[in-house]
Amino acid sequence: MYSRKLSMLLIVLLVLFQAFLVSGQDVAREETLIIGSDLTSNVAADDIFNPYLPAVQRSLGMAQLMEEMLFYTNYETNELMPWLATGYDTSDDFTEYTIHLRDGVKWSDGEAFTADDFVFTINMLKTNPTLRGAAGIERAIASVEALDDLTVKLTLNDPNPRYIQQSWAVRISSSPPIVPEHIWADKDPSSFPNFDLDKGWPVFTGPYVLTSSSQDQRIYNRRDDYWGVETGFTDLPAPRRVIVATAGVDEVVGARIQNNEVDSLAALSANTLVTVQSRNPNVIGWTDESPFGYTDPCPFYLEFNTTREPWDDPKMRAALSYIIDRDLVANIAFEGQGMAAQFLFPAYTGLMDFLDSLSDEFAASAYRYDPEASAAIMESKGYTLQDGVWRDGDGNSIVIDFLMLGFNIGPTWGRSIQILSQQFEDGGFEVNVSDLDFGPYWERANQGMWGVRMAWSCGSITDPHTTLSNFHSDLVMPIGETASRNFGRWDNPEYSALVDQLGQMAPSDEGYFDLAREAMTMFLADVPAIGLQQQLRVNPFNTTYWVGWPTADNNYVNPQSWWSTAAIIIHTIEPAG
Amino acid sequence: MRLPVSYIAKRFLSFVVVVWVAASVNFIVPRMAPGDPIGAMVARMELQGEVIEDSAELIAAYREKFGLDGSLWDQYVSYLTSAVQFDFGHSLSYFPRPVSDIILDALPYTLGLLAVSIIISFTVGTLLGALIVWLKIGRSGIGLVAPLLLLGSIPQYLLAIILLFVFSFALRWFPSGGAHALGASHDFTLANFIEVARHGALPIMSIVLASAGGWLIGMRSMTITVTRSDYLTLAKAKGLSQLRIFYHYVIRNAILPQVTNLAIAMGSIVGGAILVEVVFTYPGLGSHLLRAINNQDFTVIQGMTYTLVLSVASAVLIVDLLYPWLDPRINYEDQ
Amino acid sequence: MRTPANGTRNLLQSADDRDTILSLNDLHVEYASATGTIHAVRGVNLDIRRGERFGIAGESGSGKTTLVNAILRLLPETAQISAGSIHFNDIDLSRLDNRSLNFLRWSRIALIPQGSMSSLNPVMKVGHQIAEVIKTHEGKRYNKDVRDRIERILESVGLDGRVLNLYPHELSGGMKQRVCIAMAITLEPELIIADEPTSSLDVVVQRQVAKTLIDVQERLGASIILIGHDMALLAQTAHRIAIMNEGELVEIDNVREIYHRPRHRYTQMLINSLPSLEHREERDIPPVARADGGATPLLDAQAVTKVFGYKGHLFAKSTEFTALDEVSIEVTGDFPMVTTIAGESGSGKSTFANIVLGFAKPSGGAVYYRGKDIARQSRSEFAQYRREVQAIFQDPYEIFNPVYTVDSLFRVAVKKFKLARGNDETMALIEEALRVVNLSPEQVFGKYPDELSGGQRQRLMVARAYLLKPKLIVADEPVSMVDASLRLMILDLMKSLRDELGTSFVYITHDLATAYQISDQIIILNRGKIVERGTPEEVIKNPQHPYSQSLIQAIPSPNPDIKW
Repeated sequence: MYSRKLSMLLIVLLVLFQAFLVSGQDVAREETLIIGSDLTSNVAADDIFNPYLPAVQRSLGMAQLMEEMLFYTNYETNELMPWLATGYDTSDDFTEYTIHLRDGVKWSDGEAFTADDFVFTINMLKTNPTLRGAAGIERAIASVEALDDLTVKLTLNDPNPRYIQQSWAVRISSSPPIVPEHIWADKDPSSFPNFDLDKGWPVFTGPYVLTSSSQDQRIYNRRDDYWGVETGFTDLPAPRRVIVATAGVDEVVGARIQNNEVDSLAALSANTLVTVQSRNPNVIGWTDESPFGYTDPCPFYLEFNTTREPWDDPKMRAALSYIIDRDLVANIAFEGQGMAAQFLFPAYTGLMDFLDSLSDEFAASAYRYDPEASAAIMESKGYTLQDGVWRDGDGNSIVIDFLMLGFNIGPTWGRSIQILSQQFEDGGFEVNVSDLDFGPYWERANQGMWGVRMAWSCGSITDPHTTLSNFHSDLVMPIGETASRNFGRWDNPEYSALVDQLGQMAPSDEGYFDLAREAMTMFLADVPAIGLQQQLRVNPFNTTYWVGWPTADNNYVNPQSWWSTAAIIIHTIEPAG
Repeated sequence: MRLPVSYIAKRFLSFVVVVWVAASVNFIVPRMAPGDPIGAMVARMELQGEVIEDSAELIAAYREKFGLDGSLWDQYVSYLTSAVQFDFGHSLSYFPRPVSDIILDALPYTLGLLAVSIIISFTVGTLLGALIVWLKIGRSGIGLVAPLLLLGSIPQYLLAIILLFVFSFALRWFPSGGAHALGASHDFTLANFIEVARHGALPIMSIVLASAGGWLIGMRSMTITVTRSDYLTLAKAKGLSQLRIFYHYVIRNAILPQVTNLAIAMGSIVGGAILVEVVFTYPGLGSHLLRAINNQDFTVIQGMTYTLVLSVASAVLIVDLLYPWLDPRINYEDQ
Repeated sequence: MRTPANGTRNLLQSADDRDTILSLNDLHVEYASATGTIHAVRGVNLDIRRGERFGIAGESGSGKTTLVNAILRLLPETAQISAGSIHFNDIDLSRLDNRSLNFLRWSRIALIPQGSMSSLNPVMKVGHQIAEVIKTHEGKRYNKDVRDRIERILESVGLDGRVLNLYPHELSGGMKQRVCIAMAITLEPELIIADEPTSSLDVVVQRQVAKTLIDVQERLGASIILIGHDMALLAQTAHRIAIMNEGELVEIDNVREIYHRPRHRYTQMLINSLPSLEHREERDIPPVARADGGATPLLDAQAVTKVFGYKGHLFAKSTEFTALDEVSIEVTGDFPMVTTIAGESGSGKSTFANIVLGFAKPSGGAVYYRGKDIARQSRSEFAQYRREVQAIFQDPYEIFNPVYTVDSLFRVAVKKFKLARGNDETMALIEEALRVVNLSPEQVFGKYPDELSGGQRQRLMVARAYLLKPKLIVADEPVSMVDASLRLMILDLMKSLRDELGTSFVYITHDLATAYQISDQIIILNRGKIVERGTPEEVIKNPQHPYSQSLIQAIPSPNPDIKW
């Protein structure tokens, strides 16, 4: 009797123990890819998969695993990779684009992906202004029509030779995904959550389907009826399951990848990566040695509010530019792993070549560290240095009303602001720093309530036009009103005319770079903004379970795991064993 | 113990007043902060690398949509009416996710975490505090208490990180975050239940270790007071068993101020737990609230703080209503 | 365990011995304290006979409570029986283990605790508190029979049986005391130790409870040890009395011998310090006319009413209760006098004191000090009033700010009221005031109030009042907590302040015996109303109101020949 009870107890304990070990996973870890997301905290909207709603978090697997883009821009090869599309034609005046869709593409519910879906998506955005990105579509596209099942014609309002690359090829992070008309047709796109696992929603064309979504993780299973296999376009990706999980706060993410809990992270400081690598050599960065990170397309820069005294004077702007030691700022901000930015462009090959061709212009400009030149300007403006501070005839000093995002954005910002403030002070200026949270920062920034601000510049990837266009006179708004770009309200009609001209030319066109050089010369002379440092982002991968990650040595694509281009990474990686 | 209607009514009235005041403060404070929630939404999207070309139009469209253009009074009235119905509209930064959905998803985790931690911390702290005095554990008792007090002085956030590194990263006994195993379904099975318990262990430990010391100290000093009381002398003279005296005399009397303190401490425990949740990426209200504050997501801040205030006020109300049952001396009229 | 009443006794014991239930032999108890060993009980020898009511009298600190705790083995950790034995029947209690002790406790030796106000578990119903001794010692659950039995016991001490369903806070002080008595007799013990069983009760209730106690003791045939500081009460209740002083029993004798022929000096002092209701010393110094006297009374309370609580509203019953109901009292300004306001707790006498001192405002009527309504004084008038009207309280500990040393407290007082110029003059004044109350500056200077004994604090309070040479002192129960010797001193001081400095007193007390001794006028309050007023002779010897009569009748006389 007694022994029977005992054995029963043992069995129960055994079952409990087993349950403890198994912990509810039905796909082996070796077949599962775990991506640490770019979010440090859990998502509020775990049931919204409508890519056009503000609530959506596409970086949590939607962009990489379910949505597929017409084209992908490969930063490394500098080529346009056709995916859902096979190519495009454009009219001579760059106002009409004909996009050819790939044959045999199917939605995950088996319906065919056609030109009608494309047309539906464009029209939906044109008629619903609150959708994400809708205003840009409405401004750019005059009309859209399906020429046949696989051909779409876009008519633009203004000529734009780089339209496809700017809008449909993941210039930065992602592009608008096409949605299936047969599901979306009768829905209100401004509230449709596009989430119902029982119905198989969300429906996209990618090789994975969502199987569960919660605040801290999303689980995607590979589907074997993926169109790419049927058409022979591509193989099935290797991971049977992909989990995108909240990475967690800065203090713990390093330990997570070190313990092989995740296979990739969106960010890690270079110094933490070094520590992690000393304990787990399987964790890798873009490069094997410093700086480990990949250059982000949006470098940090300083902008002047050109409507405010004394920054309405280009000489004064130059005086400030001369006292900034960009190398020092970059190295302090990125703890010795920084890279200064000569201009507002990311350090990508095409743009760097362009800047190299401008070396004389740069040498003649204020885009260098030269405190004596600064002092000369100040003295010529009637300032005298008293106790290390420039003062005018009335004894007034210059106080820089310096606006930037708050420290809680990250330590890089905090260190940048400290070293910059110090350099301003060393240069004889006084500084009044406002480091604000997103909301207040954005409001003051776009309404022009600041003197100098630090921000990030997203624009050009391959040719200089996009960044230059961010400073167009048409974008100037009165102080107190919301501007979309050109927050510094630099108003230079000559320059803007050149930008307009550039906008209608393709980089391959004759005279394009001469014109660009001309615009740049005006920019450099007027100093409306100053490049500070490249954003080097360490995006570590773990080779314990999966190999074939993009690195400097194996640079088949840029490495950002939260971008749409990560689809290419997932199609490429292979099991380690 | 029958409670007079007036007592219950008064408690309810003060409950309602507390909730109303808190709800109003909750309405005003985020609006006093400078900045624009829609702008924050756009800024956040841009920082993530997305290019919002025409932010001005988007901001205008959303301001209208959320009624943020209405007068403050109109916003307040509609806020109060909807708060009563527990409807906080949609999240500003995660439109169109309803705030109540966000809360309902997260609340069970937070309440579960809090309930278990408070019960463990209160029970362990109180019992230890009483036993140290009752069993006359002198110096060795201090040895037992000192680490707990030390832990109590560390911010819960930091304690959570320390526990995470020791028990998760170094020893690998417990998972490092979340409430469920990676890749596990949320069905109710034994295995999942155990996983949830394992995931909750470290957050609970952070809260318990940080707060048990306080309960211990409080109970210890109250127990000392009780052991010096006349009724304890009489109880000994009555020849009662030690166990009986300990339970019916010492614990029963010394625990009374502890219970009052429990109601008082509830708020700060909730505050601390919120940060612990962030460290453990626990799917409770914590990380949502933190992000909502960063994004100036008024509706979420309002909904969450309102929920927290409501929870704390309800807990206090329950303690208040239970208290006369614990302490028959309570004077209904004076309260 | 229980020793049979007969049979196993040692046959060599004398008849007298057989009659002895408790025998203490050279008992010593020592406390360990930070400053060294305190010898609290020093060689006590005592035999208590079966059925005897034995009183132990002593002032606070005499060691009587330590003695009780030693017998019951309830001494705190820091104390130990260092020598001697405690024989209860044949059992040496001082050597018994805890288990056996618990067996013996309550079933054979029960305690009626000191301060029974706080001796009941506040969160347990009375019935349960009695039931738990039945359960512990007889193993019976709380069923109908036990319930009936508890009801009967409660009834036997003059309570309603339904009291068992109440919590202690729902009972009055007298009821709680009776519950304690009921609890003590539940198991019909052979020995009951009653430690100051009625000290917290008003005089009328005290008499009833004491009678009940004697009654049940006689019914059970148990022995009882009555511990107390009130010689009069012991004189009325005990057969024999032992006088305890500084840990020793200085005298043991029957009540009459002690009262009429005290042998020990200390006993004599105790007996002499007793205020008597039989005769009083007439005021020998005739009242002197005062320069500032005249038609205006010094203090004139006109129809003073005080209502506490608030009117009810939607959710609350009205809790109003009238503490003072149109009380009019006049203290003449013609000559200094002591006006006693006497009454039991709840009579409103302390409320009156608070109103006179300006701590509370009357709900109706007014108090005039030298013709001015004290509630309507200007700031400067009020400052003057504060100086001229001083207070002495029951527990001066609460009055002195504990974070200041005694000398700084006095200096502040001198400075505040600008009594002296310069340091020397200040010190001289303070030293004079201390001398009057028999304190030397060395004893108290540099010390904090809580470092002093209760008696020292009480004397400081008087010294402070003296320092300011007030016109009027409101003394609220100044002697109710102090020992006989100090009581005598303070009352003498009051008299000399009156006669030498011309200070008038409003003496608030429950103790009609002291009132009789020092008053010029006695007013008896009952439930906020004046029921009796007149000269001491009129009020004490010939009370008119039935309440006054019962009050005076209830005062125990220290003379055992005058039956209670």
